[in-house]
Amino acid sequence: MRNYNPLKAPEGVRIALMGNEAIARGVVESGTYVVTGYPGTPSSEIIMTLHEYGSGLDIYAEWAVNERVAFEIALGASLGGARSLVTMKGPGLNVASDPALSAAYSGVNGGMTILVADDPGPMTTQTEQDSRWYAKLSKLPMVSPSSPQEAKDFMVVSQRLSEALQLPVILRTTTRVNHTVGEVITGGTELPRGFQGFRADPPRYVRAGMSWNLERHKWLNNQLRLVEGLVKQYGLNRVVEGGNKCIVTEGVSYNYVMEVLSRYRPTGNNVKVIKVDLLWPIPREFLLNSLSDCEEVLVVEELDPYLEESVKALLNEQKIRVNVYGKSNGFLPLEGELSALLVAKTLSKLLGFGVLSAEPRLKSLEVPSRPPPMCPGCPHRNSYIAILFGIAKAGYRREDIPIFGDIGCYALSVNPPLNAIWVEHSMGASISMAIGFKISGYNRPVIATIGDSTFFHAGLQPLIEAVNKRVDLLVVVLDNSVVAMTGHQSTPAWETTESGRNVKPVDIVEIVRSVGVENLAVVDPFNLDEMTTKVSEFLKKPGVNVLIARAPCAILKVRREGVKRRYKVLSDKCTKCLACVRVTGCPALYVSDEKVAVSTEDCVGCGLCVRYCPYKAIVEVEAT
Amino acid sequence: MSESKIVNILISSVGGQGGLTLSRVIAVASVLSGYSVRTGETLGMAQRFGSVLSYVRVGIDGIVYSPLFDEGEAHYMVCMEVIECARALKYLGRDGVLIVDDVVKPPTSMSLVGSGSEIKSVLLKQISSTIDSARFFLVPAKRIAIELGSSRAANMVLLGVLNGISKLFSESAVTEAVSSLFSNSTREPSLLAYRRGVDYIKHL
Repeated sequence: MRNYNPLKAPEGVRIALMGNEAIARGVVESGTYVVTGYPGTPSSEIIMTLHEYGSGLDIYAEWAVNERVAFEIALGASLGGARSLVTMKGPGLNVASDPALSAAYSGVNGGMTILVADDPGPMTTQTEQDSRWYAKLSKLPMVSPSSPQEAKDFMVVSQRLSEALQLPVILRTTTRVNHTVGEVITGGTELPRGFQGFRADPPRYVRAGMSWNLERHKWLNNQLRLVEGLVKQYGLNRVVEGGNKCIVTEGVSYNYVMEVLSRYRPTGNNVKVIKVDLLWPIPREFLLNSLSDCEEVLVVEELDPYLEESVKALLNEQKIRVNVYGKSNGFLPLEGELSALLVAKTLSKLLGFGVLSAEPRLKSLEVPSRPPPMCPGCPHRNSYIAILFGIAKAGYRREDIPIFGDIGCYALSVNPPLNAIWVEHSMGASISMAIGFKISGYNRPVIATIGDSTFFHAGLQPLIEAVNKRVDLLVVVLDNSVVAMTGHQSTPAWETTESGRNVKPVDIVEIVRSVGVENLAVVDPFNLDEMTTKVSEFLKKPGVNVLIARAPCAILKVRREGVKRRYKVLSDKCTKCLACVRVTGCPALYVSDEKVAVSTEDCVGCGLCVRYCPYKAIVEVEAT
Repeated sequence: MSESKIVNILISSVGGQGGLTLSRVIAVASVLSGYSVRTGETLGMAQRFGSVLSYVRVGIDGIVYSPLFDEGEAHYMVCMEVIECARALKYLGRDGVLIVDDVVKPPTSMSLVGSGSEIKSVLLKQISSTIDSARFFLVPAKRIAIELGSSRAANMVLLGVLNGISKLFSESAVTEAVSSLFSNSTREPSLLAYRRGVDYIKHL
């Protein structure tokens, strides 16, 4: 789509890049060959950028079935000397944490970077997970960029560091780095480095020998002692300005600190900013040197008091008595994003300068909320309507039948008017939690709903569990043929991936059948009556029943085929009974001049609303 | 550490209207003009039809650090929809300029209780009563775009209005930014929409 290619731009060019695009550029600059991951906001655009601009660069960039598999692919590649990157959002690292901890003992040969994107706010994540603790837990080095420029530069640094240490390195970002656009100056590129060679070395690579593991643990701890010295040569960890009022900060928080200092210039620039780029191991020497003349210390970071605790421990150990302010003593909040204003208010308490906060002269007006709804024509809307009607058809009340949801667009069914799902937790948990609910003694039917990509990611094992334990359950797989919520990435059911690679499609129907599910049906959610009947029938059958509701994501469908049908409301027939809106909740329907109207620019012509108009007021018009 | 002159622009829109594209065009034009720039936005999740805010900070001299700014700090606010404009009004600064497309998209929460597009005139009346008319520009951007035959280009009309008022970017910087971001088929209509926006302000 765009006519400048960030991956192929020459060295020394100044271009506007989003943080994730900058990291993709860093892939090319670092000679990384294998890039894999699982889509997750705010990390997805790294691999998407490689897909969009990477043709002919000979980089393997493909989505994997989940983060754990992706991690192990990247690890395997790096054992043979190839350079690899694996990308994921914070909770993705939870999924990949098992191999991450073992990888530290075996180490790597080619550089391996683990990109993990956290989400203070949170904007698009189930928790405000602080993945910095993983560095401590897994004993893997971690670096933290503060801007798109550093995101690119640190991608290169972490690959070099990884190769020098023979350890995977975690590149930890947050939304305000991943999704921020800023100026980036490109560096030189390197040819992608693939397989180099591999020699069997069981004590190093086989984790089944306990005495080997003990030795590798010693090796690992020794390697960590080398890190701080190594990162010095890459220019990581910096002191900005001088003074004895000290601020320790990292990542995007550094920007808020600098913003405040450049705006208010408190106490005659008697403020020292200590920017920590290496988050693990804690750069002791750097911190002790920079903190030695501090009279007061404020730690500015998002989420948990991770740096704060390290700074306190370090000062304590050195018997240096200075006040450390931060989250533990309430100077900064423990939840949510920081902002320049928050940092300014905290700093002004400590330094005694007045904050010229621009008093909002205007107040926002009270307007109704606008949570993201399911798109017009979304097949999931039909599926949940069929589920709810199917419950009634089977003779149950809605409040009798719990619906477990999962992670994907279909979680939006929690909103009015559907009010469908009761629970939504983590990838694949719909099926497993429904099992637990059922075996605990719930004596009515239970429904689990899960999307196709989520099923591939983490739904298969719970399904095996349900079949094996003979749990009475209805599982509805909402198969829209794509990872929709994160921006339409491929699933294992595709024949061709985004990079043009021809792959063997894996069919969910075959998987479900093969694990021993006896009642299985594939339905079209746009055939509502059939799907409703199937739901009511399957609700009453013992054992594991699986319905696969198959229809492509509406956005994809429109991109492929355009809009085929148009509808309008006959205003003389519309009584504003709102039946159409109350059943569908479609955002293409709105009220205007005391009648319902169809927004022509938003309607994709699914015709669902037509069914529910008791007055036949919604009619098809000739598509232009 | 000198204070740089930073222009804060807030773009408020409904997901799918093209607010993110608008912020990207401004970011690219900024870099082409030799400015520093930071945008703050969230994307990727199903944002369609939800409230979307984009922060754009253009550093005329010196570096921009924070990708965000706070309430009351927007020098320019570009609204692609009236309800979202009302929601984001607290961001407009004391002397800030407000540019609003004369468009309303009632959210489902309103449709469900039977209220709808009549809210537009109510909100516009409230907004115009609280802001000096010299800094309030109600623009039929969407209508202009439709007249040009490219209904998706309302964001480019608004860019023309913004640049016509702010004079932040040279014509060549905008042209190059649009050219580098849009495919061959949408490039010319986008530039035409942009120029129509500039003209609209000239002839007010």
